[in-house]
Amino acid sequence: MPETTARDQLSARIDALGPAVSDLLTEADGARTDRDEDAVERGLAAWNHFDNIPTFYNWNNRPR
Amino acid sequence: MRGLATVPNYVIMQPTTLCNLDCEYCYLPLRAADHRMPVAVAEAVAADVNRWAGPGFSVVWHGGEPLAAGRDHLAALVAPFSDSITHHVQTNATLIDDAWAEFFLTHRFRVSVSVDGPPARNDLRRTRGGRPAYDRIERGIATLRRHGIDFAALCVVSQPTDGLATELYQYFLGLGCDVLGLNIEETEGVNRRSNAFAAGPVQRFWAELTTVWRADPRIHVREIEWSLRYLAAVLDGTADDLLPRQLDPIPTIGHDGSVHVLSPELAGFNDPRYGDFAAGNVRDRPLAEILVDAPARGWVPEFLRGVEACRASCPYFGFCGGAHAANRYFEHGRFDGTQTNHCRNSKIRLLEGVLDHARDHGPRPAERTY
Repeated sequence: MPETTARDQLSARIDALGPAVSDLLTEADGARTDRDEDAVERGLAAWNHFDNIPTFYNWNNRPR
Repeated sequence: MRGLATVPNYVIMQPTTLCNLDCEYCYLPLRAADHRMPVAVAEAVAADVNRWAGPGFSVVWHGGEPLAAGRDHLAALVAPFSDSITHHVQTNATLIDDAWAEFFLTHRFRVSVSVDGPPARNDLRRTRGGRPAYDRIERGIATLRRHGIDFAALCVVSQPTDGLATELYQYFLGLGCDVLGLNIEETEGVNRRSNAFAAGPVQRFWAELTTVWRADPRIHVREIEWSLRYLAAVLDGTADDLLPRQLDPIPTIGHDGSVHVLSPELAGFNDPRYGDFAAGNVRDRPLAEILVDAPARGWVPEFLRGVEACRASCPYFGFCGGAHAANRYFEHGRFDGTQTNHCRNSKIRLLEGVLDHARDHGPRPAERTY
């Protein structure tokens, strides 16, 4: 199916950028630690809770 | 991800339809009228929510401008909910004073403010008298800071252009928000302004945002975090597990007790084919019962077929999960279509923009070994 091929192509492009994306991901992990996002007391907006994102704020559902 | 869950992770409550501002891009149809939610509606919702509530269950107060309901009335609406509930408010900040700050602290509200960047970027945010609202927005945010209240920010981007992402991110660094979400303006509700932006400027906007954020990542930027979450899953082979098993119904309880699932933007509208889009009313039936029936009622089955159409046709489905209900309806006139302008602006171009940033600012792509 063409759509499966297109999806595979997207995944392949992401894989091909693996080293660059991995660098970005590593830095992002460090930034989350610096922002102390694991602290229970730290409040994130409901629309941005990692496991609880409303489509109202225009994202897709995430599982709890 | 298939079908609609019957138990939500949070509910959205409309304490009043009224907003004291009259922003040009606002989708809300009743924002000039002060229709307040009766306490009995809140009590009906709380009867089920208190049973469902676990760690992190949220009640999101949204509107209109929720603070326009007044502290006494909002306190009365909050009272039926158990102490384990986390309350959130999305506010234009213009009404925030020391008394509201104390209210937030007393009731442990999480606060998110709507602000579109520096003063000139808020030109579409006007009072009912047509005057710029920015000074009042800024004053309210300053009050939050003075009371040590952390806050998030939601920014509407009406026209993505080169240089804008840098301007906005620098502004929000100065504002002091912890979390930032950026909504490229949508054609929905009573907002009929077009959001059919060319791909290039939108994609460059997201790439530029990633660049400027990466240089100083003190703010949690929603769109970047979600993109990175997906990219990490692709790289470690778990992308197929990222979407939820079922869609959260995300019930919005309107001021009158009406329940709209998935897209609160549908509330207040009527269509010859779909009626008032409501799944029911908590004054007539418990919310829990309404949500059990919701997947099979009204427009929802057509929407679920639309999600399947997205799954079958769109390479970005694993990132997106399918076009949102309100965007489908207000752009296509029905729920079973696929790509919307919102998909293109805020999902596809976003992911591609983050990839462009990675390509342009990282190590060389993995080289073939043959």
